[in-house]
Amino acid sequence: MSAVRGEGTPWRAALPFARIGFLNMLAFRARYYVGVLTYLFNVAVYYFIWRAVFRQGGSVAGMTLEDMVTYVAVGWAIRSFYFNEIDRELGTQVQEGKLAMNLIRPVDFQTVMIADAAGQSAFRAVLFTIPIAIVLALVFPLKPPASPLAALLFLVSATLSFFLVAALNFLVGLVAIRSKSILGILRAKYLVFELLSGLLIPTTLFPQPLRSILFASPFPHINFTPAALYLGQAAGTRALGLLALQAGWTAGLLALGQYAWRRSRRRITIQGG
Amino acid sequence: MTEPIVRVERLTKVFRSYRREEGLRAALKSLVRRKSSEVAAVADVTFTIGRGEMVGYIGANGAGKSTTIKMLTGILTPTSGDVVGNGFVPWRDRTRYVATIGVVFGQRTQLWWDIAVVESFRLLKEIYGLSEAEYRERMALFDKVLGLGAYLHQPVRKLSLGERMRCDLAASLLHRPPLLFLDEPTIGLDIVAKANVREFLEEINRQEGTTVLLTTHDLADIETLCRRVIVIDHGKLLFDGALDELRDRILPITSIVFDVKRAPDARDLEWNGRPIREVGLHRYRLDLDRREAAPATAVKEIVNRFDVSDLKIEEPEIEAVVKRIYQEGIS
Amino acid sequence: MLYFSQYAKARLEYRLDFFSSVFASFLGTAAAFGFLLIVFSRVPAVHGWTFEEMVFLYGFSLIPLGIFNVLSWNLYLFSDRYLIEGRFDRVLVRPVNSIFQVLFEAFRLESLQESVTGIAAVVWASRKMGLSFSAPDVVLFVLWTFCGAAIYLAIFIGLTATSFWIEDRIGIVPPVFNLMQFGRYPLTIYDGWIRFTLSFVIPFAFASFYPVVHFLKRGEFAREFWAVPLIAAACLAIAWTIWDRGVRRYHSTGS
Repeated sequence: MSAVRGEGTPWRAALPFARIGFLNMLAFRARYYVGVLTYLFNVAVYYFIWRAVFRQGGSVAGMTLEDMVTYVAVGWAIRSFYFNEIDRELGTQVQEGKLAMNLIRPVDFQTVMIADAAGQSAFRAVLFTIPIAIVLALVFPLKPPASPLAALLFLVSATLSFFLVAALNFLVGLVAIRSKSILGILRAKYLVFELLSGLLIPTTLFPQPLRSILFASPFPHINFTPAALYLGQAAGTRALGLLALQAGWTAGLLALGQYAWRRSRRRITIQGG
Repeated sequence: MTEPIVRVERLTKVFRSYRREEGLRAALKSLVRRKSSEVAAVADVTFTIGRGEMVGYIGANGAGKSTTIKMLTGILTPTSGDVVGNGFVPWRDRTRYVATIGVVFGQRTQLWWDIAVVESFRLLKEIYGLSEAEYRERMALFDKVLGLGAYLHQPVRKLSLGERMRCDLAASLLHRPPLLFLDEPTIGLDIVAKANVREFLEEINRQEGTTVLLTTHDLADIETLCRRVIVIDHGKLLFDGALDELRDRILPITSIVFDVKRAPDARDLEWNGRPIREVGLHRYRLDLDRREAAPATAVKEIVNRFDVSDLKIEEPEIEAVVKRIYQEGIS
Repeated sequence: MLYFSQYAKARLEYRLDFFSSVFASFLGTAAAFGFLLIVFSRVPAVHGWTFEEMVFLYGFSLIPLGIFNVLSWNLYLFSDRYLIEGRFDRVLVRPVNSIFQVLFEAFRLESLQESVTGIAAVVWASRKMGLSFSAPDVVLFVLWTFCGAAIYLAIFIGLTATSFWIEDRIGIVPPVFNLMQFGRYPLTIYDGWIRFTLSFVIPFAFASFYPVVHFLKRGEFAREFWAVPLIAAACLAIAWTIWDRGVRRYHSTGS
């Protein structure tokens, strides 16, 4: 009966949820084309800004225009993979009073949410990320990974990014459900995360002491770490150190999410949310 | 009959629907191409409604009732055909037209969900351009007949279904529309609430001469409110006329049930080519087609032939009539 | 106006929540300025634009954006809330124009923060550059701001109306929303086809860039500046037509 309590549920039980998430994403086809176009536009804006910045040539913080454009493109490509809406999903479930349903399901709630998101991300990897990467490589002058090893480290790191974002979003969702205007908060969250994660601008370009503060937080590991590994900006033990730090943050935030969920579950049960 | 308030001519609405197929491969394929098919939800429907009439519009699920109502209220633009209501073409002069009608959808409230009921009414007062005096007078009436005052200060989402329906009805009649459309006004209500709604509608119809077209699944609504019914099935108009006439056409069967003191002779258990069946202890029944013989003649013969202790005549329930229509159509 | 007070009433009940959403919204805006600040901490000018000029441009673009965002909430949710959930039936049986009802049934008051922040950015940048504005300039500024908001609204009303044809919860709004950010940077940094798109296909440049060039007295694009009200009127007319046709195509949900 331990599964009913939701402790230590095997991932096997979560697989059907992942499948449903995957099928749901396929349900509306317009979304697909819209998604690819959105990413192309986002990369384009920053491409032009950096091109204008680098007009006189040279380098900024040791990065050439080519490095910078590759950094931006890799960043958006992996964003198309790690992106999920666990926080929003949590919000709608509360608003529609469906959260109670999840309390009676015999599977751990956080696992279900992340498994569902993983299904969607698997879908994105195949149908978004790869086509987006190909389109970006055709449209913009991009560099290949620094080395086969860099490519491997990048893939590992990008996968970790998914779990890191999922853990963060689960936490954000738990905080946001206390508010009445969840969507507004989430919209702001995207803009703040985009800046802090190093998606818009490499974390190394931030002025001190902001840079040090950021590197002591989980945010750069969402985007800066995988992109830097791709470009070979960190190699050898430094690369492994970055990965370890990313993994550490991921595990820590997942655990924190478990703890926070258990606390708010008690509150929801009492309020009948 | 006076000049009709609603005229519907050859009204047709065709929907195109897309099929969503099962499985991953089909889903992937649908990214590129989808299958579509056309369905006529309403086909070639013609009728008129006179001023002050209350007409029931009935049919099975998906028969095209709601689609018709939505075209008559200007929500949907028909594929072909004409509608004139209150002198307007609903979808063409929509804003001006809807100012002269009232609409209630039983499935979905027309009021603002999160704000107090009274705020919704105030807003409607502005929308329909009512003076303060008119508004007061209307609200007083609704309070008297519907007892609205009790929950005027609660948000709609906190009301029970019955309370919500009363609010919706009041909201639809605030601006004294001469024409009222009701789509399932009693759906989901308990018996008391249903009776309340019916009484209120009767009252409004009598007092203000409001013309009402209503769809419903509850045939008791029709029996209490409407002298005339329109039956639609698979988008086509099947019947338009008096309720009694519908009964005669579909189930012209009258049953005569009688008890006897003495067991009858087996040879006597037949009349006018129809069998007389034993349906209980000393109880017999003759099902009679009214088109072949008058029930009175049969009663006289039965009383002559048997030693009758008790006798009653049963007309078919409207429920059974409609069920028959849905199953077999109208020949 | 009554719709507005209605909504304000509902919102103030959640006053604390309101402040937190204003703050969240402000954080989002601040992040955008953060990006500019960091880029310019590395370079003195981008394509002939100084930091102050960039702040002015970004700030100006926020003013109509804020107005637009206050009203646009239901446009994003239109397909979901009104078409799929079926609320649009209710809208259609009321004797008030349908787009008006949709726009005014929900407000995001916190987005006014964007306009306020935008004004602050513009004032700061003008002071820093020693720009002075005459009274007619100020009038033009206000008018052009509203034209900008009208352009944003018209474009998104037109796009939202496409959900009458395309059944999808999201629709084609997001990529165009992303396109909006192109208008926040100098148009001259882009390639020709993007400049063309932003001027004549989806004319975001008329809501921010062209007015700003004039107000900064850079002496370029005078013709485009004076065309702003025309463009706004044309956009509104097109949006109106698409919406009207969409309403005719509307097929309500349910039986």
